[in-house]
Amino acid sequence: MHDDVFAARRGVQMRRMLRQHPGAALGVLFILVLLLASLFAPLPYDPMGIDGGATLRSPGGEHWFGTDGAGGDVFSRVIYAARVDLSLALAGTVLSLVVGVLLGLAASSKGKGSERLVRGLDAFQAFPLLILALALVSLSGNKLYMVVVAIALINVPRFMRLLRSEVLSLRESRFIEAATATGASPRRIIFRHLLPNVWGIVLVQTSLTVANAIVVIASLSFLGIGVSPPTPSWGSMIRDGAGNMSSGEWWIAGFAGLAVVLCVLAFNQLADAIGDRTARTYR
Amino acid sequence: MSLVEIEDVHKVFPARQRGGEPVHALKGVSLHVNEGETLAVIGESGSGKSTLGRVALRLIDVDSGAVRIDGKDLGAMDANTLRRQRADMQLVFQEPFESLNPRMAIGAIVAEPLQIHQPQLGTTEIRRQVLSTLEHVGLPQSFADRLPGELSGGQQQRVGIARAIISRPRFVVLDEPTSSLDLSIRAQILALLAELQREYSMAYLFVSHDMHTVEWVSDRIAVMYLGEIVETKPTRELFDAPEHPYTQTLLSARLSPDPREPHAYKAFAGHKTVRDAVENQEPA
Amino acid sequence: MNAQSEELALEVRNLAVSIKTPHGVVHPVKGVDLTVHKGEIVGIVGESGCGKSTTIKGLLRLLPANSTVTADKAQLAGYGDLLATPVRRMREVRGAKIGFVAQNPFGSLNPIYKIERQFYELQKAHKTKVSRKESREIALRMLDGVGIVNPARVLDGYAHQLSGGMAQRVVIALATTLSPQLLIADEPTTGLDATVQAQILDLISGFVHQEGRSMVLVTHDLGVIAQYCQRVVVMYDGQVVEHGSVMDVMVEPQHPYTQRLIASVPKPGEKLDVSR
Ligand SMILES: Nc1ncnc2c1ncn2[C@@H]1O[C@H](COP(=O)(O)OP(=O)(O)OP(=O)(O)O)[C@@H](O)[C@H]1O
Ligand SMILES: Nc1ncnc2c1ncn2[C@@H]1O[C@H](COP(=O)(O)OP(=O)(O)OP(=O)(O)O)[C@@H](O)[C@H]1O
Ligand SMILES: [Mg+2]
Ligand SMILES: [Mg+2]
Repeated sequence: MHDDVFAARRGVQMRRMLRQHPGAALGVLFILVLLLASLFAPLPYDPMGIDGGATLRSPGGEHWFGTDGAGGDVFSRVIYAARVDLSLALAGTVLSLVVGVLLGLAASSKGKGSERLVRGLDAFQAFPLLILALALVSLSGNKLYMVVVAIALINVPRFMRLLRSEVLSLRESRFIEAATATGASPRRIIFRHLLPNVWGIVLVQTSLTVANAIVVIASLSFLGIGVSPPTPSWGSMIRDGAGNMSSGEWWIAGFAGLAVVLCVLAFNQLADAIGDRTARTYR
Repeated sequence: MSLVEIEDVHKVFPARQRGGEPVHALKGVSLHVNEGETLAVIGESGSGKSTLGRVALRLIDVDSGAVRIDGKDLGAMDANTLRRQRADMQLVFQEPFESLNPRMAIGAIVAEPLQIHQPQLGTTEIRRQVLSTLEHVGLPQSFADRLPGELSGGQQQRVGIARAIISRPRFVVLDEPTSSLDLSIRAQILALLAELQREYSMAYLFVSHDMHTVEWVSDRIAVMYLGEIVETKPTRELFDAPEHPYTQTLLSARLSPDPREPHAYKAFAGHKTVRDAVENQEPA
Repeated sequence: MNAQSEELALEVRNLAVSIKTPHGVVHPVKGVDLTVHKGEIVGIVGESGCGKSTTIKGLLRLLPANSTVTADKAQLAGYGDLLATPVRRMREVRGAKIGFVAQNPFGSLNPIYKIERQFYELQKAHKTKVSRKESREIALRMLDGVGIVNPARVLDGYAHQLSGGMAQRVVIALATTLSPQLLIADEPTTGLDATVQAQILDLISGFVHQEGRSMVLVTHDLGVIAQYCQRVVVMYDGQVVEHGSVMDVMVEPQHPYTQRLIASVPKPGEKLDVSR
């Protein structure tokens, strides 16, 4: 219905963006490899398996990342954990994005409803959201979809605020006034004029949200909530390995922690790169 | 009956923060524009010309007074009616770049009025009209796929003009529409506007600082000063016998394009600002 | 004209700009020479889209990353080669050494800062020790100088509350706040009526001539060229087609484009001829 009569074909020029930001390129590569490996690669050992005869082996030729207290292969478990950890993070992000953008748009319209929404948002954010999320997941009996909801709970307000502030400042801009002057409907203004101009910054926030979600999931499973054993997750591996740290077996918590840090870094780099790109095309 | 009638309009921009002063941008402005006529509005920077243009199209609400087009009160229209009414009235913004969506192709920007008000034309016909309108304002057809940021200031300005005229509205507010154009392209654009006016009886509210341009295009001139219209006269009369001190100052400040005739005008004859000059000349 | 000298303020040789676009490489500027002496105002005129702004932005390194600027020479007196300066360091040059008034005033004002803050940030960025109070006083004086009647109100407001001409004057005030040696102004008075335009050009030309500064002034207004500039450069399609003293070029134009331009000055009292 909004078929474009003319289009400037460019979008986000992914390739150039990544060339100018090697950090982001590396990050994207890392995430892709990790995700693909966790989904399809033949792992050296069964990630759920235990081996009473090979507990707490240090990293080496046989077990690249060593083994944990139950004899599970740390390498296989770290890779496999990406399956559940990253999927949950992505699912939570998508939910936050959709709900946050819709509510953000609603909160930036003119009228009483939007004011109420903003006041509700303020009240809501006064809660310690992480603790709320924690309670929610554990009360639900560690349902995984609740983890997704929990992530949304924490991130929806951020999307809302971002969208509201962007849209409010765009509303003042001349080209929106020009669209109004032309006779564009509110719908057309939102879809053709507002959204295309906030996508860039929403994408940045999305990338940051994935990073945040990874940390939240890890924190939850560190506390024994959410993803439950024997399914490996980085948080629970850190918890399991924490006890071994003092006795010198650093590798269990170490490699799981590294995975979290690298993922977070990767998404932060990507956010940076997108942010740069948006700023430049906007000016 | 005039096509556009503005009656005793007041507009105050409220102070944004405590302690700030509100700005009384329009203080009881009345004017009318007839079909097929160009009314030029001139006046000091900040005197309320652009605000007047916005008011005339009801892009901002007025505090009191009325704006009518074709006898219909814009202030009394609901949102849908007003939107349909906009098919007949368009605006060329004073800020060419800011008024173009930075992420929309030039062609899509120019096509928008047709897509909104005459969707029955169909994509092919809209495309054709966009390309020919671009050509009319002196832009190559290949610009249709470019983004606004890839155009020069004067090219952006012409995109704004193309957007405003493509649907042949009956009333156009042109806010400094040729300020960034060189003389030869300016003449070309003004001729285009005049031709459209003749053919479709379009009415123009033409805001400009350039007295040459105003002299060229307008039938009547309204002079604004501090939010008020201080005189309205047929063009010839105003140039021959300017009444208000501001108008007199303005006319004497024109710069000659011939370097052999150095301009006699010394800014406001020793006064610090136009306003000093005007106020101290004004008969007590 | 008194302080005009033979001493060079800016010398640019063979400046060229190419921009990579999705539709191929374009060359908006194809070898421009520009010489500015101290105490002189050089005007640039030319058709809309002929590359005036791109030349200037190229010199000031303000073009987007997909563009390339080359020149045999781009020497700013008292500084060095502009094109040899890393883009990051150019921020120090703009403002302190070269004042820049962009064609689009709203583009150079930050929409979310109050105007006062923009004066403060500018002064702070160039390590002039200023307090907020001093900065405000300076700003008030600068705005008063460009004929803004209620400077305090403007300082306490945001860019979008300004009229077009007010925004232009704010940008001119900002560009001259640090008293740069060279001022580059791209159509700085398009939104101003003749009286204010004269006031501002008087102010700037006083500033230039009395203190041995210089200025490059892009304009479409031949009256401004004739009355305020000493020399003029005529551009057409990315090149300089004619340059010389204002007297020579405006009175006896050589190039066909210049001749056409000067012939198209409307005569007073003329009505627009629609038939052409
Ligand atoms: N949105 C706004 N909020 C507050 N004040 C405003 C707003 N828009 C305009 N003004 C003020 O209203 C007055 C008139 O502005 P307007 O833009 O109509 O002037 P103008 O005659 O078009 O000037 P110019 O010739 O410089 O464009 C100015 O003092 C301006 O600061
Ligand atoms: N990013 C870009 N991509 C492609 N072409 C560009 C880009 N930027 C500028 N141009 C083209 O370069 C040419 C020169 O532009 P420039 O802005 O320098 O013109 P100008 O002389 O300042 O004109 P005006 O008087 O209209 O402001 C124009 O034809 C413009 O379309
Ligand atoms: Mg205005
Ligand atoms: Mg330009």
